[in-house]
Amino acid sequence: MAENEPQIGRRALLEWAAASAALAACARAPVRKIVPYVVQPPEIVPGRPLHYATAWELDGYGMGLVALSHTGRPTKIEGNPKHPASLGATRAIDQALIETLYEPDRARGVESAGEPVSLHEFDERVAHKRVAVLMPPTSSRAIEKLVRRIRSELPGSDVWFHTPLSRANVWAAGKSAFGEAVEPMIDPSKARAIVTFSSDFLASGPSCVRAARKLADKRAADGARLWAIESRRTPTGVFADERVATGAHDRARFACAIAARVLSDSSASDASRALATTLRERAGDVDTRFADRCARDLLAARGAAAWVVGDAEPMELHALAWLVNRALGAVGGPIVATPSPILEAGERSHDLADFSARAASGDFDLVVIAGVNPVYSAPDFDLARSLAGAKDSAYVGLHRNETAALCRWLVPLAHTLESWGDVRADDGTGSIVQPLIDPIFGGITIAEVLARVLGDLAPSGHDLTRDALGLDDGAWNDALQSGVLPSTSSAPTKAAMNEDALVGLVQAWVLPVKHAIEIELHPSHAVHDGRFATPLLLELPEPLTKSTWGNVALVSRATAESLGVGDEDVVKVTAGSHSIELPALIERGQPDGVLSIALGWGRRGAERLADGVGANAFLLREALEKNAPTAIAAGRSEPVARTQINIDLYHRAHEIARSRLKSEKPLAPDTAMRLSLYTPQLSPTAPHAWAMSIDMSRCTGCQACVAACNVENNVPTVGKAGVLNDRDMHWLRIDHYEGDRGVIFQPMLCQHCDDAPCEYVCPVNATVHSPDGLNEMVYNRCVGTRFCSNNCPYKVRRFNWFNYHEDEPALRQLEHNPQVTVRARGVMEKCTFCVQRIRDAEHVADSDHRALARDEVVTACQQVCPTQAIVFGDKNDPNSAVSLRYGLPEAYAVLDDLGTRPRIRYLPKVIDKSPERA
Amino acid sequence: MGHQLFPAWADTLFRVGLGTVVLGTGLAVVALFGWERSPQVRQEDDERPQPVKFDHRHHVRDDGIDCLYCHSGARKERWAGLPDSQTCMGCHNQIWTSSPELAPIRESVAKNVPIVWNRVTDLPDHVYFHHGAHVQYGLTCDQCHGDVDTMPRVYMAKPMTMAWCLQCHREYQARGATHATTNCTTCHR
Amino acid sequence: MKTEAVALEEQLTNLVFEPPKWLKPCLIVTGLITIQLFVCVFYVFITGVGTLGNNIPVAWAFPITNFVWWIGIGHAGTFISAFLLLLEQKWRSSINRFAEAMTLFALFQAGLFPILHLGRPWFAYWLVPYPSTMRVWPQFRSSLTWDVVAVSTYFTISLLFWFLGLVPDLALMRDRARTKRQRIVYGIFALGWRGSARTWQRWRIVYGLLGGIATPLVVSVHSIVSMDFAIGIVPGWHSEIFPPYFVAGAIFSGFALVLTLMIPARALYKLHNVVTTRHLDLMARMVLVTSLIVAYSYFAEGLAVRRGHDPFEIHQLFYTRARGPFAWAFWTTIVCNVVLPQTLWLPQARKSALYLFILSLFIQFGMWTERFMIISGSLSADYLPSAWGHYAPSLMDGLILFGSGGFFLFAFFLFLRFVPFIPIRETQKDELT
Repeated sequence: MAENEPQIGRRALLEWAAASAALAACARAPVRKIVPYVVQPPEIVPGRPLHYATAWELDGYGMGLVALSHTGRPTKIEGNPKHPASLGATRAIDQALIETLYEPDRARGVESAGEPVSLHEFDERVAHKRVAVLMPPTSSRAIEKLVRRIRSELPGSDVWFHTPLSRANVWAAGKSAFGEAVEPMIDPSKARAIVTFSSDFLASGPSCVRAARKLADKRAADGARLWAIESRRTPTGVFADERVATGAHDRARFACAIAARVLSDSSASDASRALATTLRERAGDVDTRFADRCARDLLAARGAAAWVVGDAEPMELHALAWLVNRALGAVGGPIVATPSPILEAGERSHDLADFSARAASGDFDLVVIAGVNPVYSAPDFDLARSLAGAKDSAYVGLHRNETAALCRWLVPLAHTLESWGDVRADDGTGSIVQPLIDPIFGGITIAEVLARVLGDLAPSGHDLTRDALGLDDGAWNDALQSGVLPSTSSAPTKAAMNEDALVGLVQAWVLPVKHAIEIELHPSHAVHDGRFATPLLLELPEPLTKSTWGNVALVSRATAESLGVGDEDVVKVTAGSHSIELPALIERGQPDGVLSIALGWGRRGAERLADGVGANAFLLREALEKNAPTAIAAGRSEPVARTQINIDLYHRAHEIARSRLKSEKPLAPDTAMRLSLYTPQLSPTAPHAWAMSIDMSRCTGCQACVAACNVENNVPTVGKAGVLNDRDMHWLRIDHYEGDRGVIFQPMLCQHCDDAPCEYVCPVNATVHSPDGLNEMVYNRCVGTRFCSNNCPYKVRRFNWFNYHEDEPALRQLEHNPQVTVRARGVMEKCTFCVQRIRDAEHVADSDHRALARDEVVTACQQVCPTQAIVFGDKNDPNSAVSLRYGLPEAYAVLDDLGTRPRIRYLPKVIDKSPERA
Repeated sequence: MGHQLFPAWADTLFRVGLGTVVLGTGLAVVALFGWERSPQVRQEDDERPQPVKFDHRHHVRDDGIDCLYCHSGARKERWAGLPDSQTCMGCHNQIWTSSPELAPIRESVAKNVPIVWNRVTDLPDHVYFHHGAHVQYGLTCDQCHGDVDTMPRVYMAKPMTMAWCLQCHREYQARGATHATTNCTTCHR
Repeated sequence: MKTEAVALEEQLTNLVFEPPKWLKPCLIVTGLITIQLFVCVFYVFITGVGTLGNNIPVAWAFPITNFVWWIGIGHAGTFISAFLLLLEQKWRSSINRFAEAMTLFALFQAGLFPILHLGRPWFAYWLVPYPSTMRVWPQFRSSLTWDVVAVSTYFTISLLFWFLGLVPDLALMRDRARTKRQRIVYGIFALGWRGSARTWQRWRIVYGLLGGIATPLVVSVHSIVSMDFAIGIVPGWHSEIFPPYFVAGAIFSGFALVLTLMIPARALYKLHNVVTTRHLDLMARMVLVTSLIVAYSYFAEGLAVRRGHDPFEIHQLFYTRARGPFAWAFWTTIVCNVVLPQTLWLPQARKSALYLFILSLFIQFGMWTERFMIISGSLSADYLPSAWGHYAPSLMDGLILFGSGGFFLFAFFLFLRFVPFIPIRETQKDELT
């Protein structure tokens, strides 16, 4: 919890009393209770968790999940290997679902004007009335059906869709290209060269997990060069082999320059070749050498070259993308034009302006805002006015947030783990959302709200979903088990590309104006658009800056000097009538004149932890479209809670983080002789030798492993003050280094050294070695001398400075993994290689009288990793996944010279510069 | 010089006193070790009061019901588990249907409220004991729980200290049972 | 001649029987500071070590620095009593009880910190080998377990040694006592000492023996303390010269502290006839010698690292310490421990009480910063640059260090109040023979 300022609470005193009593050896343990079921459900065996396949949608795009439940209590989220958007992995925000479920600040009951009322009264209020509903975009068939019914049966009512991070530009371009809202689906496994225009398609967005996985595999197989043209450094940008930092204006000109070179190529159509000349003029004097190299690379890879554009980029650039991809023969290859799974994608119902106008008109008895927070994320749409105009207003959501504060009714929304429903992945594949637990606060789903509008006063999400999907029992049960509806992925659009329309669009394109100061707003990697205000995500480091608990303004060194600010000096950013103040950070690879600011911070809702943390950059968004922004030093500074300060390697690249160009010959293995006075502690009789291999070429720095580790191992969060004092508790951190060949991400966790320096300095044997090669940390033996941490060259040990779990709300305690001790104050902790999973697997195998299967044990970080950068397993088995990588000649151990003989070996980062550069 | 400040026996007193202090501290320490190990403090022999007057002697010895019939988890699972009220009624809706002793159970099933028992064997939360792992390798219940079939009301019967666990594990290891591991994460994680 | 002895006896016993006026206020003030110390300690025990400034990577900071510093300071006591006794340095007799008392009180402080900074202090006894119901023993490969033995032995021996030396004078106090109560109390502690030739002869044997036992401790204790760091692999810790280096530093700071305490006491109690300029001169020489050893240690460490070509150690010594965030500590150390003491080559400096007093304060400070630089500086930047961190002490750190100083002085003033702090018998003997 962020709230860890020391308090001598009653509990502390009792603890102390108990401790001293124990010293006197006369403490009599209190008798504890044990409560069996009245009727034990057949599927539940106490102590054995159950897995349920489910899914959830973020802005309408589904992500397949497998949720873990301990005696009816969801405790962990995994990816669903059968689901196309997941392939068994997840993003960090998916991991946080467990925390949002047990969020103590959730809305706890139906309220009207602040008074608790029964849900029934709300039912009365909505049934058969003229209702305007604003909800997030969705791909749910059930909701689709309900919306159609509302439109037809209740002409007075209507439904709109809103999300702060809309894909309107993508859909618009798709519409003009194919007449319908298609989305360009990237399949990197078919690409040899990819160029992205500030698209972080490897670390954020609906398909990032699949894209990252396929690109990493493709690279490992036969290589795929990635070109990035972007503002701030994104995980995708630093994953790229070639990157150039630009503002919006120059980026557009780069696009023109590269497109011109591609389109003027003989194989392109006449229309587009004509366009090429216009584009060349527009391109002007951008770095032509880069454009040449990039274009040449794309053309060389014709048929396997793709052009990817970020959601926030101008619609014309998306249109140009279709032309170029077509010219490159990418469409149907690495780029597939898929009809958007989103209901009414790109139509009027997705226009917030339209909604607020209509809502204000007063044609409605009731305005229902469900699951979106426009008052926070779209401040310029004067929702207050619209809601005032409406006769009555209701908010359906998880929290009493900024929008709820303006509505008369508050109805708790059911969490996705409490709901029945259905979603579709970006490729159209359907999944059933099934609940793992009854709504804790009696929430209802959006589908159930819509059903109420239609007069169904006791709707069941389950029935609504089954009706909409129309599956027989068999198919239904299969779908529930597998987590995907078979063969539901949508086929590529049949329509032919309307080239003229696209050419027209691009011809008419007015490039973004170049301002002295430019503001680049982007979703926060941690809290996304601000809807996830949980401790885990608030304290999740941004991939490159490692900043937590708030957003910053990223500036280049030159810009910082011109503004007269340094790291952590506050800048005042103004656009139109709005301005925000937030600390600056000097970031490498940041284009001059561009300030990059994350959205999703500066919340003012009921989520206490997020309240007032950071600055709300949404304030600027609308204003930026009309006004040139300004930035000035505010003359004060504000500390930024970063989990890593030093990103230089101080000439230690060889010992710590190795990298090489693909064209260079593989690095020689370490052949230093290892002499040790200690006899190796590993018993030759041990059946297994656990080990891990981490491939830094595959790591995108997406932080999913950090999140998964925290959830799996009950790792506490320490709050901004804690992080500022270097007391962050992450067992696994992703170190970011500026290697001489580019950024290196190095997941750093306990190395489980065979000759561990931490072990011999512990005076009480609290950290010792197991025969199967684990460096064991025994919390209940630890007295907290902290010598082990001092002596750990990797500094991966974490100490409980306070009792971080003390005074945790009862609800929060439900999220803990019962297989892992919840550490009290004063003990050291660290990565255990998920020993609870190892021992459980061993017990299960024992019970079945069999040996452990190959690669049966999977650590939390490995399971969640989108690119399989982390592989864990038994080093004794020559064919286990880990052995295959562990034994590679390039595999090396960090700080090998110290003779610690780690059980984790890293593979160097391999960068594939284009031939001219290499 | 003149009269004495202390009588002649003062020295003796002092020596004796010194002796007692030294000896006393020694004894006190030894006493502490003893105390910590005494069944009284370990609450081994406390018979716990239970909401239902359940008598293992009757069910196990007289009726010969197997432990696993009620504690079914013990064979494969982490926790042996307690029978749900339904299991009791399985027999007792046939026999002793009106016995006042069984009123709480009938009520539990009728009102669907669970019975709250008092734990007898209660390991600390940082100990991860796995019943299945022990039963699978042929340990019998009484090796750790004593002759429950002779207990009118169940008590702990064994110290359940770490030393006691280790002793057994080490003996098995000595006999070559590789699964009776003694590294820390066997029980603590 | 007899009268002279009596006069001296009078003078020295009256120091206790007629306490000066300034003593009571001193006792009150330091007493209050002591209370403040224990309040803070209790608060830390209740709330957790998080109330201190420590973090990861700098998991050891103020408390351990204070521990090493206090232990070191104690050493002069034992050195003077034991070493100089065996070397039959007569001049020791007028200062040795001072020094020994100082050792004891310094050890009180030192003992507090290792326990205080534990995460779970109530389990501190797990470091002591005893047959537990967990059947787990301490790990003897860890220098922290050696510490427990070393320090507790040191404390026991010092206490016995100090008390044994005290007995004859306690008897004297008993005999010269003004009130009944004094006579009884001193009488009890005098253990019925008669001062017969036989007792004296036995006393000398035992005292000599204890001196013999105590002597190796001077070397062993701080060597072992230094191994708390030397056995670690942290760059800046892992150094073979630590044991002699730390012992020299200990005696260096110890003698400085004797000066710090002795010079005011001498002035206030008008003891110029007992603690003569010669005493000051001799102690100043000791300070100079040990300072030179310390200086050599600094040089040797630097040389070894430079020759060793270990990039991490080079960075630690020549960047983090010399130029980096801990530069202030490094240069303070050099100035206070190496540069300033060189002035003691001048006889005038060695004979000027005031100058020696001020210098000794600088040396205390210098030795503290040295330990802080070694312990926290090394931790703040070791192997992985990603894990480097900063350290800032918390309010508690400051209050506890301050409080321990107060506690030390409190104990010391009590000592001045109730105990003959100049060995009367021995001084008589030495003065008159």
